[in-house]
Amino acid sequence: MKPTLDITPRNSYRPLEKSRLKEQSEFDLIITQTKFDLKRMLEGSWAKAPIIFSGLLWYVTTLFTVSRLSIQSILPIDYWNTFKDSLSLFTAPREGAGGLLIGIGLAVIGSGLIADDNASKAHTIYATKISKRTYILSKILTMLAIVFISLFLWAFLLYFIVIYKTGPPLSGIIEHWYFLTNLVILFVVYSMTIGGIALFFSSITDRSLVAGVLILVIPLLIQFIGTLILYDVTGISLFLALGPYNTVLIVWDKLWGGTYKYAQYMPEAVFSMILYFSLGLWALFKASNDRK
Amino acid sequence: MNIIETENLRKEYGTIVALDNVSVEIPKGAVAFLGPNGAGKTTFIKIVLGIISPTSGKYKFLGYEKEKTTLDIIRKQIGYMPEVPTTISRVTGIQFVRHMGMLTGMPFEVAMQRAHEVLDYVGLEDERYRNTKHYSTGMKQRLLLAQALVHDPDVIICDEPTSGLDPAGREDILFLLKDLVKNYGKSLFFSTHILKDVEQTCDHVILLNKGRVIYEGSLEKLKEKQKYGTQVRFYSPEKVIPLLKEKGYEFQFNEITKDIVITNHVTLEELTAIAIKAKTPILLFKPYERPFDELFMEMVSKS
Repeated sequence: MKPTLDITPRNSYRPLEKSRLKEQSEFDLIITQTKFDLKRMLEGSWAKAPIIFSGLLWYVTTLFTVSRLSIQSILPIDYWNTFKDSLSLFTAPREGAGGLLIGIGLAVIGSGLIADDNASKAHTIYATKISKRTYILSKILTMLAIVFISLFLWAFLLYFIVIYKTGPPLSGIIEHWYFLTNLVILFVVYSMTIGGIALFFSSITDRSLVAGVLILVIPLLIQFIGTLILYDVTGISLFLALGPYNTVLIVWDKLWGGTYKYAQYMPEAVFSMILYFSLGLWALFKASNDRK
Repeated sequence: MNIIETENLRKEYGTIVALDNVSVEIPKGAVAFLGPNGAGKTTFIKIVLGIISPTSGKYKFLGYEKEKTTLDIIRKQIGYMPEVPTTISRVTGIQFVRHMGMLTGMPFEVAMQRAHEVLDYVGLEDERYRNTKHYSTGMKQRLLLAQALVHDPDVIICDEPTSGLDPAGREDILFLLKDLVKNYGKSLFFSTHILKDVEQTCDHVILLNKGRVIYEGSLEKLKEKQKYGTQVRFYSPEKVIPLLKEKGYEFQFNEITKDIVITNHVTLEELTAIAIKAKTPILLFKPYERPFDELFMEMVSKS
């Protein structure tokens, strides 16, 4: 005899009025997915205490050992020099902690961006709702948004902590093209280097904590090994430019007058930017495609 | 119209052939895709869904051939419940289902209302605000069914929907699937290796092994294959066995139950004559129907 299922449903199924469905463009779907991921990342990031702690440790160490002189150097009275120097804090942990803080931001907020999907195999569900291209573009957009948030968050933190007393009023900074142009350049360079690295590490693992630590530690290792060991020993400029924070510093400084002694290495820095971003895209594509 | 039609569908992963020229026609209604682990069921489903591409061969879904332009149409008509208890981390049940609704084209408010409706239907109304991370396997399976139903698709495709569930959880999921087919006109296509699930829910069966179709047809027809000779029991079977051999009958003797299953055609009169000759009475005589598992294993091993 055929077995039967004698269970009474608690609730009946309600068919959906199809007229309530809207035709969505790919752009709408990318934005929907990006907003969802961003909200998820920001809300879920508070659980990443170990990353935050390690990040702060790095920050404090860097701040008090490597960047001490830079902080002091922003105190001069001259208005523009103060402002320009303070912005340099963003560019490299060698001269300031701003870049590192953006790295921490990406590690804390963005590490689970793809690692979480790898862990839960959510790619498969997404694949039945949206195209692979929509998925990839939404992840890139989310990463860019995280860089943007980190950059502005630390910019305002820096303003209140460091240049509040000596710099221009906040309204003056926001309105001034110099400040905004700097942030745009920094946004593009950070997105391609640290953002590319974050995409890469978040895509190759299914543990967001591991991704977070790698996003934080590997760029610093490359930075220090490249600069202090390989470049100093061999003199090959590419080793210097491969340090992600050096890359940012070289590009930023070259575009603003080339005062930094390594600004001549712009081609190598552009190569690094493209390299890191390509690595990130490749890993993201591979993760989204790994649906066996 | 058939839900799915395939023609010589083949998928290779390096040297491994996951699907070997599979040609099937899957009708509307409840259809089971039966096969042992590694038979190629999940690969087949993922190809049909457009998640992976076949190495060669063609397929149609509801009459549409897979093209970039038709994939969106196909997505709107399929609700897919994946094999593993997949969820998106760091979200509650309601957020998860609502987001899936929004990805199928619902405005926020509609998606929210719809998420509540489907979560009520699958019995997660009390758990909707909990983080999905803390859901049990059974709850995750219900959640996956809810997200599959959120856009009210015509076809529900499930990959091992009862995998890892306890008996009660299994019954619940099967009931919901059957309810959707019977009372709401949905078509169901699900893969499983649990034969009882098939018996409970499906009318049509496709049996797959090592990437090849070894049976395709109605469940009734498959059950016909269960009828397998005649089961007899003698008071002293050891006296009868030499006589059966002598007469050329093919049979299997079960050492534990002492029953003999004769696979050739045999009548009661013939067996009575043998029993008289062996001077032992016949205790049981009836057509033998193999358990479904046994038939399944035999078909798999022969393929």
